[in-house]
Amino acid sequence: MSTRNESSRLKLYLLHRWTALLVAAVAMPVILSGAIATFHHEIDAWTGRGRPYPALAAVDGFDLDAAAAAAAAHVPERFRRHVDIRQEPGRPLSFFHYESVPGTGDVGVAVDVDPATLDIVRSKSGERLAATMPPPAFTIGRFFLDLHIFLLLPRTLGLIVTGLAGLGLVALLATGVWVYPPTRANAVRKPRTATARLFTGNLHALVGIWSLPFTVLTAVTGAFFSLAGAILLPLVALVAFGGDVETMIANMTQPIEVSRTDDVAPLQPILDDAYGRSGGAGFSRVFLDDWRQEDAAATVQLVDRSPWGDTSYNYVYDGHTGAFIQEQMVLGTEPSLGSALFELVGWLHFGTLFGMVTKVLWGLFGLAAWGLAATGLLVFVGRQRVGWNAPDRVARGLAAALGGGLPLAVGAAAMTWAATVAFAAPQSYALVAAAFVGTLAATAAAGACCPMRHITMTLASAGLVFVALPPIAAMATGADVAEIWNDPARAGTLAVDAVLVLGGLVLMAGATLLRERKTPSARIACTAGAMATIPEAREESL
Amino acid sequence: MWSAAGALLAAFLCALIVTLGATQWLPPGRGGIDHLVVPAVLFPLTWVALALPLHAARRRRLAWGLVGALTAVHAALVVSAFLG
Repeated sequence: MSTRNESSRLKLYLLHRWTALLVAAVAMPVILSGAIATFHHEIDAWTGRGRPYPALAAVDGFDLDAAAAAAAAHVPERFRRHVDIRQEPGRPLSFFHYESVPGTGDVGVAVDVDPATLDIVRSKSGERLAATMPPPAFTIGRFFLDLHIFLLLPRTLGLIVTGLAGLGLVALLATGVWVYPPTRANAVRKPRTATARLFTGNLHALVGIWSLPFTVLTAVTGAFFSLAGAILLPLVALVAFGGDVETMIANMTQPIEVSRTDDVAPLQPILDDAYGRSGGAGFSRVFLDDWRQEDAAATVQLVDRSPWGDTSYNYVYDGHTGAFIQEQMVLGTEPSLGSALFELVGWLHFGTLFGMVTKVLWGLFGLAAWGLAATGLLVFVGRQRVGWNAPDRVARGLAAALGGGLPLAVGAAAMTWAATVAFAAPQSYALVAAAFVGTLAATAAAGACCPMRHITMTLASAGLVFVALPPIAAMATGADVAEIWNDPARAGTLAVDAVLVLGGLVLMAGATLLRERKTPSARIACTAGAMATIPEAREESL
Repeated sequence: MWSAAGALLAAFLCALIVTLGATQWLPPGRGGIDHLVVPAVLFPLTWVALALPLHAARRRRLAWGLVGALTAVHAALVVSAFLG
């Protein structure tokens, strides 16, 4: 009996150990970028500080019809059937006119309009993700979102990879809890600092216990979101609706009855009515479906932002008469278990349950989950014999790249963004992505020798980059610091600056702590590894 | 290592079939979506609940048998949905 138990435990231990290596490479960039992407609205406001575009409600005499006409003038007739109009805080008003192409997705023309002047800021055609790429000033926020959702891969492949990483994370957590059941003693034990190996092992257990509920929630909900779009919903549509995704979506939302006249409703009165119904919530998005067609309908999405939680409103209007039809549920025709579960999954994954409070908590837990994976990798590397074969080098390179290299890669991406803005470089997004991937690859290659020393150096370097970012971003965007300082509406920019400086100091403190814990055996291992690369030294040592 | 990979992959396929089959027997609920949304949301948990016993159960044959039976029943539901 006990032998069988031990055999199961050993199997789960080995599964935990090897899944960790496989999952870490994919999941850690996803986790860290997720922690950052939790604040993508705040990051957009921070990066767009040079010239923030006003919210629609703040523009006197703003007319959505005039803005829509200005945008539509740049769009061929065949794309005008569906329009997605949105404004992120600080960004221009964005129109995406499109048609749905089976197998490809939405293809059309994105046109950004300055809400104050109705000037066209820019226009781009293509598939939705590529066409709606934000202007260079906002690429860094979009980059972290894309890294989190698609891992910079093509859409479907990216969703499958991040979804499988989420499943791997769920397996890691389940096997971790099984093999090392959380105990009260482990939850309160201060990490022992005698050696680096002991310290990272104790820290791994401590962080693992405290961040366990968060990591389970985000891994399960993240795996669902990724796999739902790429695999689950198309297959569910295949089984339940003979492969007709549109019929499935129609069955999952409330039916809408429109008047089917030849008239086209003006948009501004619809928007004004929605503002009145919501009690003054801010503009977020308007969908025009089958516009100027028989089934024309407009869905207005407003958001009331508050530090304690955002409230969303979705109103549907007749596209011919402009008459209010109904308040739209996200899913389903009536509140039910499925709609409540779907809403809960969204709240839990995006940390929007209690507004900024949960966003800050989610950000901190995300960083803790990254620390958990980094310390886990270091424990793994610490248990390996000092070897110089390919798997050992890969494990050490991974530990170095994902432990210290990731924050440095985040810093490098942000610095590259600042440079592309300052020099108005084209292909800002591609350069930011190249800086991120290049830094990770470089740290993996350099850290294959001695990960602990390398992590110490990269953490300290990342800390310096983070501390330097606020003044560099201010110079790059040409923002007037005094003006921002005196504008209460832009207090978030200063808050992001403060968080960056604080984060940089914490990274430098962490590097100092690790440097002090370096053990003689780690140095010997490092020297042995370095010697093994030089034939003469190797011969001499033999 | 290969046994673990086989168990994880088998669990993925079984969880996928169970998720699809569940759309046929779960009630749609008041909103008409419960049978579509609930199995999909629970897919990651279904996967891990099948993967761990397939890989590390003390009585592995029994675990494979139970998971196989569950999958076969749901596969039959999926096939009947196609035929029906």
